[in-house]
Amino acid sequence: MPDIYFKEQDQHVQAAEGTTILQAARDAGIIVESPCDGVGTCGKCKVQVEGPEGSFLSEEAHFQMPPELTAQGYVLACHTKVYGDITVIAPNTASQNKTLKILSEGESFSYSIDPYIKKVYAAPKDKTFILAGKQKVGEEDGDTTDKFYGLAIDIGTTTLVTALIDMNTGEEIDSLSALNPQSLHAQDVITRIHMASKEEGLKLLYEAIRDEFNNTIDELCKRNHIESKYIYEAIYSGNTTMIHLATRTNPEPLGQFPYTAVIKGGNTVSAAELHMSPFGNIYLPPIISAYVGPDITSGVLAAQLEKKKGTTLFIDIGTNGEMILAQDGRLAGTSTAAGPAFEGMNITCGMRAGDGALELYQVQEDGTPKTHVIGDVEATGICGSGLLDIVGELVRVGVIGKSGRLVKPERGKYSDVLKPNMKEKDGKPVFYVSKNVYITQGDVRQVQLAKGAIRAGVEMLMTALGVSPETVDCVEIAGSFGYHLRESSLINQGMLPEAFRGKVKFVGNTSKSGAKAFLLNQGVRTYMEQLVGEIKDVELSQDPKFQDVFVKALTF
Amino acid sequence: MTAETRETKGQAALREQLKRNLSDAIVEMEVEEAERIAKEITAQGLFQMNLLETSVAAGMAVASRLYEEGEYFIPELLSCADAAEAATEIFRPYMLGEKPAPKGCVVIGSVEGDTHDIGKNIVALVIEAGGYEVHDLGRDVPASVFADAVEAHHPDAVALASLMTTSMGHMADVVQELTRRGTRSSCKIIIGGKPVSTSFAKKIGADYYAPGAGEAVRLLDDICSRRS
Repeated sequence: MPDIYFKEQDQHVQAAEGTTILQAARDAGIIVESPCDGVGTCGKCKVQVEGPEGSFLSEEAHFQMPPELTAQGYVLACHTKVYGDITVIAPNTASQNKTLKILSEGESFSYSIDPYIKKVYAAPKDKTFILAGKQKVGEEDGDTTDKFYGLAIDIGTTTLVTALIDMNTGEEIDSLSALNPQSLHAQDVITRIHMASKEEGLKLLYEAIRDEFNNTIDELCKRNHIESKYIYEAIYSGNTTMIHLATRTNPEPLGQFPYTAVIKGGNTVSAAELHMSPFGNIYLPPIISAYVGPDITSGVLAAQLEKKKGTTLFIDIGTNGEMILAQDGRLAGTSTAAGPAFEGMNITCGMRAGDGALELYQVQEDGTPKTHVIGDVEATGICGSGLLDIVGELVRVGVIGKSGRLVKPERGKYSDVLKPNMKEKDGKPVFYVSKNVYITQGDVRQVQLAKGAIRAGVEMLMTALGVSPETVDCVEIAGSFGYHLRESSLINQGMLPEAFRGKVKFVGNTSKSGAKAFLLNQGVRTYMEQLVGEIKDVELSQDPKFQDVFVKALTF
Repeated sequence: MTAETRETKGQAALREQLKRNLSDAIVEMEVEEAERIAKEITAQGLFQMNLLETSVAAGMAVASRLYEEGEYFIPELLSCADAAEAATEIFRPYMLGEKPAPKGCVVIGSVEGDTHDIGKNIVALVIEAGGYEVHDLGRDVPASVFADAVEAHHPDAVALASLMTTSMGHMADVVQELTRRGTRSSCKIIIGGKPVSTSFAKKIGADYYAPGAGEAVRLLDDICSRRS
C-alpha cells in the first residue's frame, strides 16, 4: 500500500492505490483546503509532490495549473492519484486563518428576559430543576440558579460567530469568531450540498462543524471561568443549508429544482453531541424558504422589520444575496445566487479578509488612489469589500467602462496618475491596485455577475410588492461582510439603485443579535414562527422576466 | 434572364452598402437602426435569401468573436442578437424559396435539476450564429426529453449544460438514456458549464467538453466536417 508522507504536518498516511491525495489527507484528518470539494475548478488544493516516476498520476481538471507551478512539482490534490510512496508538501492551513476579520455585533431591539429554558431552585429538596417550556427536563444538586448560560450562534457559510450569554441577566459575556471548517472542504453552498448528499460527506461536514463548536465552547468557558455543563441552550442561526449540515440532515433536495428544505425550523433538537448540559437542546429558528434561512428570520426579528412604518429593504450580501422587503407590515423575501466573488473567490488576486487583504480603495480628487490593507502590511490580495470598493471607484473614474470593459489608457478619460497602473499580462489588460495586486477583465466580469444578481433580486422584489426605488425609505445591509462596505461603492457600480443614495445603513450581524433574542425570549419564537408563514416567497428562478432584469443589471 | 442579371449596377451597389450597414448595426447593438435598414432593403426590393447569411449571421459572427475575446459581455451579445432578430422579423415575409442549408443540427438544454439557463442561451445563440440549426429544449430538461428530441431531429450533436455540482450528475442520465434507446452513436454529446471538465465528460461517457461558446462551435465544425 502506498505511503504518503505529508511533510508540513510530519505525518505518514497509508492509502489504497488509486486514492487521490485529497481523499488520503481527509481520511487522515489532514486539511488540504478544497473549496470546490475536489471538482477541480478552484485550484486551491494545489500541493507539491515528490516521488519516483509512476508513483502518482494527475488527471486533467477544469483548473489549468500554470506551467511554472507544474515545473515546481505542483499538482491538484483532488485530481492526483497515488500509486507508490510519495512526499506531499501541503501548507498547514490551521495557522493561516487566525487573523480573519469578522464583525460580530448587530442591531437589536429591547425585549424582556423570559427564556424558554428556566432554572428553579426547590429549597425543600435542595435541588435545582431545569425546565424547558413548562416541562421539567432535569435537575441538579443544590442551588445552581446563578449558573445559567446559553449560546447564540451565527453559522455563516464562511465564518462562525458564537456568543456566550448569561441567561439570568441577558448580558453577552463573550463572543468568539472562527472559520467555518466546512469551507475548507467545500467553499460554496452548492458544493457543500453536493458533498453532503452522500453519507460520508455529510458525516465529514457535520463532524467538522460539531468539533469546531465544541472547541469554541471550551475556549469560551475556559477564558470566562464557566463550566460547560451550565450551558443549556444554543440557537443555530444560519442559512438553510448550514442548518441542515449542522443538524446532520441530508440537504440533497436543496440542491436541485424545485429546491426544497427538509427542515422547517421552529423546533428544538438534542444537543447531546455538544459540550453542554446533559439537559441541553438546540433551537432552530423558523426557515422562510430553501434559500432564505433562519439567519434572515433572526435578521427580521432583530431589525423589527414587520413593525417598521414605510418601506425598508433588508439585504444580507454574501454568496447568496438574501433579502426582505417590508412595506408597512407586509413582507416579501427572495434570494439570489451572487456566487463567491464577494468572498474573494474566483478572483485572480482574491483572498479572505485576513492580513494582507486590500479592504479599502478610494480614488482621491487629485487622481491618486488611497488604500488600506488589513494588518497594515504590503497588500498580497483583495478581499470582498476591497473588490467592491475597487470596482465601484474604477467605474466612477472611468477606468472601467459602462459595459465592464477595462478602458485602455490611450482611450481612457481617467486621470494620468492612474494610467501607468493599467498594464498587460499575457496580452490582456490588468489594472494594478498596489505593487503586486491587480484585477483582470475576468475579475470585473465576476463582479458584474455577482452585483447583477443582487440588483436583479432587489428589482424583482420591488416589483413583487409594487414598490418603486424612490419610495424606499431605508436600506439595511446586514451580515459581517456588509459592514465593511461603503454605500458609494455599492451605488457607483449599480448593485443598488441610485435612488438609494443616502438611505443605506449597515446593521451588522443581525443573525447573531436575532439569535440572542430567540435565546432570551420564548415569546418571540411563537411570534416569528407565525410571521414567517406570512412572508411572501418570491421565487426568481421560475420568473421568465428574471433573465431580462438580470442582464440589464449587469452593466454599470 | 434571371432577376439578378436584370438588376442595375446601382441596385447591386446599394444592396452591398445596406448589407454592410445592417451587419454593422447588429455588431453595434443598434436594434432600431437594424430594423430600419432591413425595411429599406425590403422597400427597395433588394432582399435576397443570402442576405441572412452574408449580413445578419455575419454580424452575429463578429459579435460572437468580440464576446469570446472579452470585448463584449452578456448584455452586449444579447443586444446584438436583438438587433439581428429585429432585422430577421422584417425579412420573414420575404423569406421564400431556399433557406441557406445549416451546417448541422444541434439539440441543447440545461439538464434536469438545473434552472440556470443564461449561459446555455448564450451558447445556443453563438452556435446558431455559427450557422447551425438549434433546438433549445430550455432548462430543467429530463433525460427522456433529450432522447425524444434526438429521435425527432436527428441532430449531429447534443449539448448539455449544468451550472451546479448538484445537477451535473444528470448529464450522465442523458448519456444512459440515449444508449438505452439505441441512439447514442447517432450523435456526439458535448457538455459545458462551470463545474464540468474533460475528465468529467470521459467519466460519464460524453464525447466532448466545451469550456465556452466559441469552443462549442469549433467542436461542431469539426464534428460536421468529419461527417461529410
